[in-house]
Amino acid sequence: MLLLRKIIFYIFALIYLILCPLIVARMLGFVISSRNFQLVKTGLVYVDTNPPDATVYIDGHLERQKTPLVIRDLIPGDHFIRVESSGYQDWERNIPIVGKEATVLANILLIPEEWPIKTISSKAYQNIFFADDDILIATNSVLKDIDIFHTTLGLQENFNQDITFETIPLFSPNSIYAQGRLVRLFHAPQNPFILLQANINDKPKFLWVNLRENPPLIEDISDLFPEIPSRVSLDNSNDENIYAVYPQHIYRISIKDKAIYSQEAVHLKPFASNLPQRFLINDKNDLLLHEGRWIRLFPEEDFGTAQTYNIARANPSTDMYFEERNGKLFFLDETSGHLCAAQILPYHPMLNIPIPDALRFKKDANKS
Amino acid sequence: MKFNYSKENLKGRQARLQRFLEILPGACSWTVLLGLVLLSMFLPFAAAVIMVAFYLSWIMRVLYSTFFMVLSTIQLGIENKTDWMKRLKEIDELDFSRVKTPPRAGSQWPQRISSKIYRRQLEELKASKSLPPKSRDIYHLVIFPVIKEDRDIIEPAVEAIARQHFHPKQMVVVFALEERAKPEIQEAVFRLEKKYKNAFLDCITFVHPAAIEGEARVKGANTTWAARHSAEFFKARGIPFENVIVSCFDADTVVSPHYFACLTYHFMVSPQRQRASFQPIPVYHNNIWQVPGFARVVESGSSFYQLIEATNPEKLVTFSSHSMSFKALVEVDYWPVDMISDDSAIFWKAYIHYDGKYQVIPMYVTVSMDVASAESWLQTFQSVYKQKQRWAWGVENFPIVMRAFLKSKQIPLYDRLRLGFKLFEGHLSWATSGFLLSVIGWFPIIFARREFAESVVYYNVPDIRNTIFTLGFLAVCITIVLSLAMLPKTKTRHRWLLKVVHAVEWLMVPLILVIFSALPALHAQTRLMLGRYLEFWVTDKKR
Repeated sequence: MLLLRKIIFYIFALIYLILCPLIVARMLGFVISSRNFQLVKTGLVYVDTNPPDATVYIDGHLERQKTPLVIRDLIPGDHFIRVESSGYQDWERNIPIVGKEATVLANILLIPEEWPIKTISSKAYQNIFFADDDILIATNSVLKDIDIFHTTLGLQENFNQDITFETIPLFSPNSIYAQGRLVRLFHAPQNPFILLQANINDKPKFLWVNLRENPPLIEDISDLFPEIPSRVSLDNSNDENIYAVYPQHIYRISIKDKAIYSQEAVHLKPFASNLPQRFLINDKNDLLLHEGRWIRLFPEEDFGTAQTYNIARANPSTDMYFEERNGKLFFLDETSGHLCAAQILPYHPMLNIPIPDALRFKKDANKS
Repeated sequence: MKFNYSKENLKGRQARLQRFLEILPGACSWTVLLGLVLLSMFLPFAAAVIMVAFYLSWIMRVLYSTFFMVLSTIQLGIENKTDWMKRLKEIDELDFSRVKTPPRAGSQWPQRISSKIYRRQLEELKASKSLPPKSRDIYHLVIFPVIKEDRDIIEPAVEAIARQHFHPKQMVVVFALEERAKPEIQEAVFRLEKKYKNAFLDCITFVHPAAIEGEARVKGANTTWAARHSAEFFKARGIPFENVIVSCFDADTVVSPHYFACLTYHFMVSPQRQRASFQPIPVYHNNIWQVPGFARVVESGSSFYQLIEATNPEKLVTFSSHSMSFKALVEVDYWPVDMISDDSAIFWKAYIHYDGKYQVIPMYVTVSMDVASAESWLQTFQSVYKQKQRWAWGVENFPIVMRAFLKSKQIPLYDRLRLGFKLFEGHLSWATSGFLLSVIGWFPIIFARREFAESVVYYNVPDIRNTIFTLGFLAVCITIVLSLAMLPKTKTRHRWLLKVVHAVEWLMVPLILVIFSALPALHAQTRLMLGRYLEFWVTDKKR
């Protein structure tokens, strides 16, 4: 047994001494060329698409694995990659490969042949505002026509299936304010309160709405506004404070205490009456932009000519909102004024640094 | 070589050297672990290359060990069927001056292998001219140290000795009872002594006084006390020490029925029988089905480790319950009385005393012990952890052995380097491998920054690791099969279900590697490094 042990030990030691440098060289990207049997530096390309499971061709050769995938042992130089997925436009680029380096094509956003867009409201609106968490407020000139939508509805469902977006009126038809007319709406992102300036029976009223409550709690705080302010700003750091801006002075209004404080030197955050009209999506610099009548997509481009894709036409004076959690874009259709949703990202990307194949967990869990 | 195998009473340069060598293993383990964490963060390429080289060496070691584990298990199965008493009789009757043809082999291949080993051993014995005493002249001294083990634990162990194939009247059973043991424990021991008085040549209890100067509260002090008094017993009866084999067993050690016949055989056929320890294969079957799954896997792993070690007598060190020449024990002045790891320390003490001319002879026979077990799952968890930490405290031998090796001129330099390296590397990999495999190996990827994430290394390391781990899983599968074959049968109705559960339990190996192997080893080394010496802790045993 001792002799056998020694023999086997030396065999294993020899195998190790031979294998170790070879494996380390392989790990560093060196392979032995089949042409001249010389050690050559190679690179690799990592291809990940949104949505995944796309077919990849490199220099015309079909890769057996679907995206996300790593294509190894590529000789330095340009390689032509084509990505195909049913229902989406082909993605083609010449990708430069550098020895010992990985070219990362992370979260390539595949452009659908036709953008999936659904009309989710039966009536027309004048504008939309995003408030707290997933609450979208679609407004009209009459208060009873203001509705609330939850943007994360249908987070896990397939967009192609029927998803019913429940319309929740902000004011019940029996409300004393129902027939009032909306003048202005003040809100701040991630703030559960909104302030409505309305004319009720031709009298100016300020209504403080708590969207956290179900149904929303509405309180008339007109007494806190002796004059009509030129604008009102909601304080994100303190839900219960608002700032009323007048030509000569600013008042801090504490909703909780029902008190008005003169505020001479207050640093007001930029007035957030409008939602941002641009969104960086897909966990990188793919840009979603509301430009004039068009909502357009500008995918980040590292290896080819930058391209623009028109998604939908929207009223230029209205806002849009992109819900990161389910990759949906909400906007008002230019012609009908109906609230619409477009599925921009089929999957929610997890990390900005790609995970190598061997460590990858299934993306299916993130399927939306 | 005359050498005081102790860390106590050192002065000047020796004290400083001892302290430096105490710090060395822990410092190296921490350097490896923290070094790789820092490398992963700041030089991920270097960390990845080192990790891949380590993974590869690990898998080679695993496959190599698995191969010998399989061979060793096969040999254990073969030798389990050997009629050792018949062999003792044959050796007794052999005329070595005339013998030319060794006994015939049987018709089955296991018998033929066993017979071949037997013939070779006889040839070596004949060539050595170191002829053994007759088996009827060989006596066994069996020492059971007792401090908190109750009758339920000790009696099956004594009963197993009474049921030996070897003549019980050539055996002396000694209870090494601690004076500080509880009265009910002491009472139980005395009752056992009375019960088994006539079953053996004698059954004696020696009570070890609680406070003897120069002794620590360790098992070695207790067994040494009992062995010294046993020497008086043999002297008084005119039994030469060279005819006595001493076995120091944990109180829960249940030996297989042919243990002492097998031990006597190995003693007889070993030319250097007076300078040898005899190491059985420890298995933990006494309560294996009553303990939580993780404990079952941990102890099955320990048995397999000993099976693998058994194939390498050149580097084998005594572990747990084992036997040795009583003459050697007396000559080396018994077990260390101030060390926790007395089981391995006695080998090193003898190895140094005899200038490297001391060996451990593996025996393919099992001794069954208890898996550390307590009242609750959590307490069992703690017990198993503490037991592993105590085993890992064997690192306390490293500084003493190294001091002896530095001083020794008689032990060949090659042997000193070989064994010194094995001792050091063994403890280093014990404390680090689990962490490197289960945790730190992932760090280069986890801490990856953009420049590393855009290198081929970032993508290739996980692939290489996965391939290596798949091979490692193959070794785990082989271990599962062997484990299922070796485990004792249960009386439950759904035996197959238990076996399936046990097979699944082996999937805990990555966790166990960290929690019950690397962590206690690192803990022990850190304590030694900081000079916070461990105190002997008696493992909880419950049936």
